[in-house]
Amino acid sequence: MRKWTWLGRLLAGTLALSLLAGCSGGGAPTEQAASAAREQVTVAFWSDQLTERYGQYLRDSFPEVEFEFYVITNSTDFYRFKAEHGDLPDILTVRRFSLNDVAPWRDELIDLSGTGLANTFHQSYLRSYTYSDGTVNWLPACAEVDGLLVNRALMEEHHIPIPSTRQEFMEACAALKALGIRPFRSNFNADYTCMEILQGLSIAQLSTQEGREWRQRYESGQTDQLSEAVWLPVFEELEAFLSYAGVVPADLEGDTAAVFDAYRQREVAVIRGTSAEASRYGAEGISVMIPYCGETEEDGWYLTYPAFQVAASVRAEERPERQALILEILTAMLGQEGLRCIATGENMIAYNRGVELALSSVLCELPPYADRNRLYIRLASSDMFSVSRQVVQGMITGEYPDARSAFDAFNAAMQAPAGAEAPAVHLDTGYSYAFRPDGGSAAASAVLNSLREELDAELLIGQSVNVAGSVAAGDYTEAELHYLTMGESIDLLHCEMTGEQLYRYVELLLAADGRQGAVINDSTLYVSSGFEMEIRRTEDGYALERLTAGGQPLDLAQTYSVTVLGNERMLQSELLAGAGVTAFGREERAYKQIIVDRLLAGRPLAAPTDYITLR
Amino acid sequence: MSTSRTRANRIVPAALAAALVLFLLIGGAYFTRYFKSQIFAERTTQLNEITAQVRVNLTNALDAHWNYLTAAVNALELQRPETAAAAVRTVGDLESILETGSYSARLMLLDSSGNCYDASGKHGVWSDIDQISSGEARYTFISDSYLYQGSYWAFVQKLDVPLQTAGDGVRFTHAVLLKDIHTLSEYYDSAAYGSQNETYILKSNGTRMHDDISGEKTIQAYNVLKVLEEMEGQNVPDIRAALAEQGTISTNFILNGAEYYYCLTSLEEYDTLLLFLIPAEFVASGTVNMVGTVVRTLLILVVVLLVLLILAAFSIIRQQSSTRLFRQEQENLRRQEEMNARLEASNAMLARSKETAEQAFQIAEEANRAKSSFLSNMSHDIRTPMNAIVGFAALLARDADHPDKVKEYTRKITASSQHLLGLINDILDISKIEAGKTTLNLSAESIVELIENIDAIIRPQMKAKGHTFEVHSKDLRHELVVMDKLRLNQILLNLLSNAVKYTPEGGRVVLTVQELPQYARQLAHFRFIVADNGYGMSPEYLEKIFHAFTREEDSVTNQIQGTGLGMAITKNLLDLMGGKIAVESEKGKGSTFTVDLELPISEQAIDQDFWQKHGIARLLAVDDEEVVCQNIQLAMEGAGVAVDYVLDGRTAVEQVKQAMQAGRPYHVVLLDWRMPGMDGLETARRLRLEIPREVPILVLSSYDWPEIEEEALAAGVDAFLPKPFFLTSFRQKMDTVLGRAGPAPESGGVQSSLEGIHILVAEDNEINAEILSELLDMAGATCDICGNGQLVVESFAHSQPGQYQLELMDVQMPVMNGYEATRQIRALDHPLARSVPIIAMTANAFAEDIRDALEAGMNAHVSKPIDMAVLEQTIHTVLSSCS
Repeated sequence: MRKWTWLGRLLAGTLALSLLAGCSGGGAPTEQAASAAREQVTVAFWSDQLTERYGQYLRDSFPEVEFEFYVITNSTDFYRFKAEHGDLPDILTVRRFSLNDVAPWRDELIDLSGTGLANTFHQSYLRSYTYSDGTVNWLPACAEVDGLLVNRALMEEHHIPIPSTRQEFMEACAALKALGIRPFRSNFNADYTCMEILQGLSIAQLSTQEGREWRQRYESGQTDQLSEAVWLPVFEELEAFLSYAGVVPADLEGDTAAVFDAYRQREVAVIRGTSAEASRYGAEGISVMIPYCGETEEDGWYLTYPAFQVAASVRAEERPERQALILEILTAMLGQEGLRCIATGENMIAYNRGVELALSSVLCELPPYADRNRLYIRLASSDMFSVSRQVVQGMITGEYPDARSAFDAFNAAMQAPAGAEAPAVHLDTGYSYAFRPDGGSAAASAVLNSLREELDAELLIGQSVNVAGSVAAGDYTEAELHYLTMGESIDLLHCEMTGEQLYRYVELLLAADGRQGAVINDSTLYVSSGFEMEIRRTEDGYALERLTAGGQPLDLAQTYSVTVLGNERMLQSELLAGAGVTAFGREERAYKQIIVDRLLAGRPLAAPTDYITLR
Repeated sequence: MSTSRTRANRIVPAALAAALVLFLLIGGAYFTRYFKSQIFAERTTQLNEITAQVRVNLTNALDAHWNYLTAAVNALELQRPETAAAAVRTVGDLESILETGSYSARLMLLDSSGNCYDASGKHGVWSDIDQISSGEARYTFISDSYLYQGSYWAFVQKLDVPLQTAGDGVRFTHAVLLKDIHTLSEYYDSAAYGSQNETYILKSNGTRMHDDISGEKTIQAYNVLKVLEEMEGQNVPDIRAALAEQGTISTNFILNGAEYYYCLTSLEEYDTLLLFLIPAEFVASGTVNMVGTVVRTLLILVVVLLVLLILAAFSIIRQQSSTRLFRQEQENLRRQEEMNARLEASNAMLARSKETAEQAFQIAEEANRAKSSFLSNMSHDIRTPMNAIVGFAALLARDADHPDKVKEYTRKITASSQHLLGLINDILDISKIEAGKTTLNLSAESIVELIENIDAIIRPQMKAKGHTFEVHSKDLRHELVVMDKLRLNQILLNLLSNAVKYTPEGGRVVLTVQELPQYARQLAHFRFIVADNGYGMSPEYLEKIFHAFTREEDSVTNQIQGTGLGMAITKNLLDLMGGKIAVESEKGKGSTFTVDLELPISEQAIDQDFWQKHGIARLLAVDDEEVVCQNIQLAMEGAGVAVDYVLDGRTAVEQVKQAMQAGRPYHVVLLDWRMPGMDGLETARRLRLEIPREVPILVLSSYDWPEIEEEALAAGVDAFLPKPFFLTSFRQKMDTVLGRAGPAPESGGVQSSLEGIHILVAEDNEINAEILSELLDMAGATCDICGNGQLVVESFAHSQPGQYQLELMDVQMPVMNGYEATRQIRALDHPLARSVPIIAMTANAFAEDIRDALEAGMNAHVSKPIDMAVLEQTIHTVLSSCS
């Protein structure tokens, strides 16, 4: 009997591994065997920011685990889609979160309420993640603090005091305008910016008794309409703010990086942001974060939200050993060391006991507010993000000329029937994301080959994590097509490169540790399209051995048109420069949209190629 | 024997020990389970009681705090402070009035933005503001407020009408009473557990209400209820359902090998669960200790008892062992004696065996000698007649011209042949009997007819030797019985033949047939006694008289022809019939053979109304032997005929006269022929004068009828009835006399002529066929001879009806045997196929052969060699019966 049980487990394990490995060819037997000997755990990152340090931390903490990382569209809807296809990752992370949004598929996740891990959290925070029956599926990582970043040096230079009340803020804006300096700018192209500014400016209003009671009704599903008593003043506040802060329709262009560029370059005095963003975009030293101002100094509020939430697929409960391992990984992810690997590792507020995170000078204004608990947790349902973007942008463009029209538009959008969207595309072939040493990831290759075709580039290279896991065959709505790739905007850089430069560039990619877009392990290796890479594992990581095109060595002297998929500011501009490439152009179309458009146009994903040989 | 006893000696104690161990194990298991269940019940009961107290205490305490808060709110609404600062002062005043400090409580107000106002002033937003945002009027929960160190039970009352300060526009929406949770522990800590219990305050969904886990070490989880449900040994699968149903549950679980008891009770009005968790050792510890002491004491007692038991058992075993040894010695002695006795017995037995063997040897030698003697006798006996036959045959050829010599020689050849035939028949008979191939051919027969036949056969031989032969019957009540008539005939003839042979001429032979009393209704017990006054036998010979091949060596008897098989055959046949034979004999005085047989009574009815139909109601018997008269009386019992008897002729005449005169005449008279005084002849004459002619007078006598027939008929006698008196014979005779049947030939002689009869003969042997043809011709009959069965069938089939009056059928023939031929003839379409008489004529002369012949459809059986007298008589009998 025991023999059969053992055999059954072996077969089940083999089946699971074969599913994980996908159907596209087989790797070297020895390497597959070695890989099979290690426990495989798939971790979906809400953002490629976690490739900077967080992924490396997990890799180093669990050397016996074969992690498979990929980056998702930052939405619980993405996981709902994955759950419907039976393809949930083992560990889920997401930043945009509402308990109401994830309730329908809660049974797909482990109940963490009975674990000691859940008990390390402060009850006041944990209550937001607790269902009425006591179940807890999601746990929050530490809180990001969101407020107004003020270019302290610029203000001091112009002797403009750092504002602490709404009135002072308005006066500062006026002063800055007089100096020809834009008082405020933000990336209103991003939905979260729109939503956070809308809520942040009116926290005092939203946190009144009426505001709180309305929120509870909304979050419990009792209403999907904004309360006029609570929310009309909010839009009035924003209407006034857009005016005195000098927000213009041009602010809808560009991205966060451009905003920070202007900020750093003193073109803008105040921007919305987090301390992590200040750090990431090099604005930490010049900035001080003030709260969203109220009538009095003590009425100011900071906005907070978890850096991300973590959950685990219920598949882990199939084996007690695996469940224990998954819990161990979750504990590591939410422990002090793990939290310190998120972003800069500071300026966060821990939700769990026994974790101390340092605050930098950016948050020097925070302590008294924190002492008085003037930290407002944003209302972050999926609808709230998308509708806020629509309405706030409409207010900026003048589509909604006043608060009332904006309020009405908001409610109208919230009320829009969310009927089942008809399938737009049918994919005949599915591809596994699993990495094979003798070919790479079929899913990533299919997507990047498609991208290269669409861009008509000779060669293309991008990181595998930019593809959000396996590609399932079947019907897709237009919204679901977006789930095929990572969610955040990422740059497409066109350049000319000799074979030698390309060789150097790939070497630099492999060596870029601790950066956003860095290679963490096999599953995060770069994907080449139009050429192949032969890579060798080393003690430190990976080393490039050879590049080929169509099986032939790449002509080092020949110049190729190359497209790079990656974050220009975080990594790519530096690496391209290191390879001797200084001139490159940015593709106007977004990577995600190019793929979606191709599929909507009826062109299926290109066939994957064996782009890598890993020894 | 010894091994099995030793084994038994080992098995019994082992079985007892095993049974004891089993009893202890089962008893121990039962005992343990019983105590466990009792302890469990005791512990849970105690927990429930204590928890119920705690619950009441805590509920009262919480209610009291609600009362404090309500009082504070009422006071606040009465005072309605003008500013926030005034409100703060009011809070301080109320704390003083309510003495909140004495029970570690604080009062607090919340404004519409969630800011806190206590006695010390305004503070920030309350960290639990989200918990009071669902629009309810009251909230209770545990707050880990950043404002104050530690955890507080929060009682929050939403003001019905927000308190708006006129001065600074602050709008107070809620009043809060915070109670230090640790001071509540006095309500739920129980001294009964020596502070070993842990108390968990949970929301109704099982999750913790606060962060303070200092007093909670066992369950380190957020959802305590979920953990409880997954605990090992947890016997309440759905705690929530059980709680909803019962309000309080108490049970146990195992954690890391340690047993814990818990009691979970619901404070529904506070959306709260209280969980008391205590290591099992502290629950009902007194009871457990007492039970433990009892158990230990019992265990000690059991151990002591066991030790005593073992010692006692050991002692008993030792004693038993000694006893066993003693008994074994005794047993050994006894066995030795037994062995000696057996040896002696064996020696005696051996001696007897030796003696027996010697006797057997002697018997065998004797048997051998007897056989040798027999063979010698046979040789002699066979050669003697053969010698005569051969010799006289030679003389016959020489003296063919002298008719007197021819007749003499022929008579002697015939006599020798008859003797030789008898010899051969006996040899074959005894062989067959001893081979166990003889079977009885049973049928309902008349014992009277049997005796009459025997009488008819043996009387001529008696007469030839000048013997007086008497046949007596006594007490015969059942004439018709089931028997093998041929075999019984053979037995009696053997005895009577011996009597004839071994009695000097002029001797006396008596056959007595007697029916003895019999208690079995279905059986009749007959005794046949053959007594003679012949040579007698020696006692030595009497011992082996029934052995085969034995004859008494005697100068006299040696002269008598015999095979020495007759008595053996007789004995064997009687054994076969379940009968007995006894013999008494004395040398020179004669012998008496007594045969006892029990024969089933035939169910065939006898015509009981015969006498009434013929008007015979009175009978007079006249015989000087009273026994004979009494026999007649006995035989006629039940026949409805009154029997009178007289012992002489004169009295008989007188009796008849008187009867006539009295009007009670006799309807028949049985008259002895030889009587003293007036003999039968004279008596018959006188009687005939007295009684009418139609009244029959029958002579009952041992005389041959032909000798007296003439004068008897002349004297008026109507018929002759041979002695002894048999009812059947009497009835048949009366039937004849009264005219129902034609007059029977009174002589009983054989019709010697076959004149005019045409016979179809089946005979394959030409010599036999020729002899038969000549013999039949001599008797006046003609015949057609066929060489096999097939031919005889065909001949008969083609014959004219009446062409053949009968058929003589050989049995062993080529092509088709006689049995089959008979069956085919009986099956033919010939008009006489079923009625033509067929007589078996074969050398197969045994009873079985006769039976087979009859079963094949033949009418009678005649054995070869052909005895013309027998053949003629058989033919006449068959023809008369068939006609």
